[in-house]
Amino acid sequence: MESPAREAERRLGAAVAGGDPEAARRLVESYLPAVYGYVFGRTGLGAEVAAELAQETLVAALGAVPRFRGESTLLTWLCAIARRKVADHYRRESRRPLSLDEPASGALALMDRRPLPDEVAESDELAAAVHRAVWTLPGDQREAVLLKYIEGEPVAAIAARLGRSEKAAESLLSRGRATLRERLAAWGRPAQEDSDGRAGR
Amino acid sequence: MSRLTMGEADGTFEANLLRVLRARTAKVGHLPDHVQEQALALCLDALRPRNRWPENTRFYATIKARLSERPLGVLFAVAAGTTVALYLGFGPSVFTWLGSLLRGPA
Repeated sequence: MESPAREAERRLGAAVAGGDPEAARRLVESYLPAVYGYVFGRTGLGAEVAAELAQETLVAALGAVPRFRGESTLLTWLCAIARRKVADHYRRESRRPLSLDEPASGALALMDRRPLPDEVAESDELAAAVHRAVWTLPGDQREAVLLKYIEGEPVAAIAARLGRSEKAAESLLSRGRATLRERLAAWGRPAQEDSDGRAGR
Repeated sequence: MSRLTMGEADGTFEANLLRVLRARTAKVGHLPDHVQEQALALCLDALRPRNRWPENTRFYATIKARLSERPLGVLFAVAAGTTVALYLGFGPSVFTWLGSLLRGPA
C-alpha cells in the first residue's frame, strides 16, 4: 500500500502536470532548496552554477512530471534529473577550449597510494579535476559511479536502478574506476610530458 | 602488477575518490531568496499555456484590446451584430417570438 507521503507527492505531481500554479509554487518552495543542496554538495560546482542548475532541474521536471509515477520519492526523481543536468553542464564545459592556466595538478594526489588529508580532499583544484572526470564518464558508467560514491548505494540497488544484473553493475563500476584513473593520471601530468593527456578529459 | 591493480587492491583510490566526492556534502549554504523567486517565475512561465485557442488568435487579441479601450462601443457592436444575425437567420418572426418570451405568460 502506498504511504500517505508518497501519495501526497504523487498528487502534487499530478497537480503540477495539470498546470496548477499553486502546485508549482509548492514544488519550488519544497524541493528547490534540497535540489540545490544536492547539486552544490555533490558536484564540485560553485554556488551560482549549482543554483542555476537547480532551477533548470525544476523547470525540466515540470515538462517531465506527467511521467512521474511515484515509484521513487519526488526528491529522488528530481535528483536523477539534476544529475543529467550536471552531466550536460560538464559536457558543455569540456567542449570549451582548455586554458593552460587551468588547475589540474592536484589530481596527481589521487594516484598516490596514501590516503588524502582532509584539506587536500577539499581543495577546489582537486575537487574540480575529480568531479569533471566523474561527471563526464560515459552514460551507465557515470550513473553507476555516481550512485556508488555520491549516493552511497550498494551494488544490488545500483543494479536495480540501472536494470542490470549485479555482476554487470560491478563490471560498470570497475570500468568506471579504470576510466577515472586513466583520466586523472592524464590530468596530473605536466603538459610537456603528455600533450595528449588533456584531450582525453 | 599494473598501477590500476595496485590501486584497486588496497582500496586507497576508492577511499580517496569517496573523500573528494563527498567533501562538500556537509557544507550546503542557504539558497538565496532571489534564486527561489526566479525559479518560481521560470516554472510559472513554463506552465503558461502556449498555442491554446483562442488566446493566440489575432481576432481574440483585437477584441480584448478594443474591449479595454471602448467597452460600450464593443457591446453596442456585438448587440447590433447579433440582431442582424438573428434577423438574417430566422426572419422577422424571431423578434415576435423573443418579445413574447420576454413578456412571459399572459
